[in-house]
Amino acid sequence: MRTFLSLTILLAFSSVSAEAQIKESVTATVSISTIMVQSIELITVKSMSFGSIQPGQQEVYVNPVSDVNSGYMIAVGTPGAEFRLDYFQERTLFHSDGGQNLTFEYEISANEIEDQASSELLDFNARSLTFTQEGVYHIWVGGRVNIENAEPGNYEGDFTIEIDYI
Amino acid sequence: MNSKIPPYLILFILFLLSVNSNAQEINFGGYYNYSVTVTPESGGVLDFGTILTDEGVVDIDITSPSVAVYSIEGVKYLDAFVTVTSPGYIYLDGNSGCIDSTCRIPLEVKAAYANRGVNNALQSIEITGIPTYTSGRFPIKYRGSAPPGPPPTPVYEGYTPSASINIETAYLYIYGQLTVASHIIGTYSSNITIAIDYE
Repeated sequence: MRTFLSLTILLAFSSVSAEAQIKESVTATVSISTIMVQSIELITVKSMSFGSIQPGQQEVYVNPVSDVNSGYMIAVGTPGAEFRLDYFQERTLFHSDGGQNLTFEYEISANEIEDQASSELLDFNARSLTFTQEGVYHIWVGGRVNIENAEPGNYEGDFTIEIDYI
Repeated sequence: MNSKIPPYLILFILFLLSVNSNAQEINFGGYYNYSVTVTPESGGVLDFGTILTDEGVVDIDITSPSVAVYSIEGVKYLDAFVTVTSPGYIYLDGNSGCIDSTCRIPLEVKAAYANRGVNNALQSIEITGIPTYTSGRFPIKYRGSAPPGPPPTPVYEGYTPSASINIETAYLYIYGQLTVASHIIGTYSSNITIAIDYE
């Protein structure tokens, strides 16, 4: 009987205290978003070559718009996405036996279609381009180098092109 | 004289007493503004920006400027109970009906609070939970290990407290990570819900 009374009194008081509580509630919604794009791939289809150099020739020039010796690359990315293309215009070609180095000035042309002749020369500064609906862009690589004082031997160098989504 | 009283009669009497006592309670909530507000400080968006397929874990951590920040304004004596509920995924074109792994990206949401009066993520404390559900309790104003304070003085004739005297702002930070694999390219979105109960 005593236990029953205690429980009953407790229940009675708890019903009072529950009503004295303060209760406020608010909600908010956080939007989460992202845009997923395809990783950019740069496929080298053909390396640039200088062809045959004649004795006494002072300069080698590979025109990226018209020369068959131009390098050819295909950039692959998200269809319709804008991207930025940068490259270093001047790069050093190192003489393999430690002789005098040469400076190569790169030129690049690009086109939405696989047609070198109608490609457009690109400035080396960042430029906005757009992937085609097939997600590709065609790039030809050429340039010029002064070989007037070049020593006989092999020269090696690299070419850096950077492509990023905008 | 037999003085035994049936138990149901005692129960009935006590029930009546409890009803009567309701009529004598002072409801502080009726004499003081206990409202709480939650307001986005940075647009209320957790934007992961542009991500690449197969990029792996893309993280917005607590120090990132992309963190979604909310201010919670309420009575500084009281505690806020925060619950963050996430669908666990972010969906292609916001279509939450997608159940295929190619059109939804696993999402882990994290939350932290700062209750020292300034919006400073470096002072924040993470609210632990699981990727889809996080909840925690914290005082609107930091009070160390002290217990919650007494309720504010109710308004009475001749006394009108300043509207801001007991109001403080705490900050809630929402951040997290995506686990990116070979999903369909496109725009993904989702919503998470913040619920704040306040006692």
